[in-house]
Amino acid sequence: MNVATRAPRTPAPHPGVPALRPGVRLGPTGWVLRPRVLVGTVGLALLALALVGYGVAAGGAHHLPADRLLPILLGQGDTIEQIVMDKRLPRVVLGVCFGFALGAAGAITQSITRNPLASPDIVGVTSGASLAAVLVLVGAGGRLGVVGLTGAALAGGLVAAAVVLAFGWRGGLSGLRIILAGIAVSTGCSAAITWMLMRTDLDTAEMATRWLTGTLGLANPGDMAVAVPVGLASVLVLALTSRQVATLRLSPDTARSLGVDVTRARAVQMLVAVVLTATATAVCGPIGFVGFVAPQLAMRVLRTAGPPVLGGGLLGAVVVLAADRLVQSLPVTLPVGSVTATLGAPVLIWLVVRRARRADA
Amino acid sequence: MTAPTRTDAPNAPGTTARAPLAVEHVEVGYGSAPVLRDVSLAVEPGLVTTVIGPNGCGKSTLLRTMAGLLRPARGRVLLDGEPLGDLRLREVARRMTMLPQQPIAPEGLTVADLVARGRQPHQPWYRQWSRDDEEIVATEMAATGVLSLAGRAVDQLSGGQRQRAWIAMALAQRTPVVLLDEPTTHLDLAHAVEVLELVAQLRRESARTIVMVLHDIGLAARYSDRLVVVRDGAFVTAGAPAEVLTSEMLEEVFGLRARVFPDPVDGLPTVTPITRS
Repeated sequence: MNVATRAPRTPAPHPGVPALRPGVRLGPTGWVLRPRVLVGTVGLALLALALVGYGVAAGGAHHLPADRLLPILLGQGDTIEQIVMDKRLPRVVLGVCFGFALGAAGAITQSITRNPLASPDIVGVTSGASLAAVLVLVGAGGRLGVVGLTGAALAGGLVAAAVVLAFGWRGGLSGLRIILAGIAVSTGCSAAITWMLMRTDLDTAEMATRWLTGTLGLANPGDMAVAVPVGLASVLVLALTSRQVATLRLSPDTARSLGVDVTRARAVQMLVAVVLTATATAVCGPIGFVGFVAPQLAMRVLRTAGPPVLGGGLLGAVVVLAADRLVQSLPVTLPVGSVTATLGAPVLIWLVVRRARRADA
Repeated sequence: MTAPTRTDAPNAPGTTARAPLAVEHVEVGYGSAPVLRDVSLAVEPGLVTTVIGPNGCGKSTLLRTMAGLLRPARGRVLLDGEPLGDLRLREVARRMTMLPQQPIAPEGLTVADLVARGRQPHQPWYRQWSRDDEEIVATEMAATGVLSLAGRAVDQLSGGQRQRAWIAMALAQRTPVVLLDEPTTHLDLAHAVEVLELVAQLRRESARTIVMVLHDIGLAARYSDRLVVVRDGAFVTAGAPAEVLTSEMLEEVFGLRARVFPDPVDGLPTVTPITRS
């Protein structure tokens, strides 16, 4: 039967109606224009860029003047400048790429589970990746290098996510079950890590512990080979799937009624989130709470309905870079993970209290 | 032809082959015990069909199966005569939509943004907001009376307003078939009637086929062209409200002793429980 013949009436024109949602149109394309989101996102990107520039120019005792940065990047600096750049550039590049990865991953998991508590670090992905990475560190003593560590962390993160999903699944994803299962997996992994650190020799334990607190201080140019592709690939994937993420925020049934294959979309999104989180964890160690806090902050700054993926990623980059600047300006050596965790814990408590209040009301 | 009816010969002319939406011998179960047992039904085009039955009888399950949200263990669902499983999900979403029971919008989502979501099945990724989209969204918002609420957050609206906003989203999808799962749950009588008046208006003004689940028999009788009665996961009877609604049926299916009589003003069947005192 021809559907068109029975299709509902064509719309009557509404001359007096003001634009519901302002749009940008060019040829066959068309997008909604949200001034606050656009300005906020560009602002966050510029802030991240400024922090990158500042980190390279003033990230230590030797000051590089701003007008020298580009020539040095292009390989025209003198030896000292080149050495300084080789030390500082990886640090900020890692900060920007992995801050973005963590923030974006958090926005994805929070959106698809429709739960602000469901970020990768809270549901056990980070601890699964950490456990696998410590296993490799202790077992191989760092001989595997960044690629081996990344592979192990990825496998650990995926296994943890699979376990959490298996327990959290009950004819569909239940938000609360996932979080409870995530807490259980996190606790189990932490216990296993502690046990392994106790058994190994002191040097390995020290190295693993340093990695476990999450730091950008150990960054070297080789790490950029992992960070940059991951950063770029994630931006691409997120751009292609942002509409699905927005639809999944409505509810699984509604998303399905709008033509989205919910199970597949969730699986793909979850996989992207795990890959982003596990890679960042493998290279820098677990940088806690960024994936949880950044999307929630971005949602409030940009006033979006649900944690924004791009905004969350950019804010994640800003948070990590700013925390790393703070760490470097302190008289004592602190890992960046300790700063983000200190920042994140109160936010977590605030959110839990607020949710509990709303549930009571 | 009085469909919806039992389709013992499912491909007989005038039944499932021509129906905009039909189920054939479907069995649906969560785990071992089936919730629906061998249910067949053909929905008539352009009418409002309402599924009624006691709590837990499987009426929502039937609607969710029709929408493709539940996969039947046996039997099949036909959309315009085509098995649902053969169609791409986006194609299904251009022909049929379902409004779930008590949908929840994310905090801060505006009414305009919610209704605009309904255009998604029609949009390529590079054109997510066209002039046509804008016009259709405005039209449906005006039809449901939520145009003046465009900038308000859905979670801040009253129950009746919120339900109308969600219905506007389903309508913006421009599907010939619209399924509504208990659209009046948790609404007081005035707002429930408001929502059902909207359904009646849709039936009058558009060629849409509407299937809904209601738990209120009286309202179902007033606002439906066809009633489908389900009990214990099985089809009982179907037809025009005046034929289906009888004291015997209410006693047998709902365990309710009630008088059924035509409303003195409009002649629609009216149900009054018999008080024992």
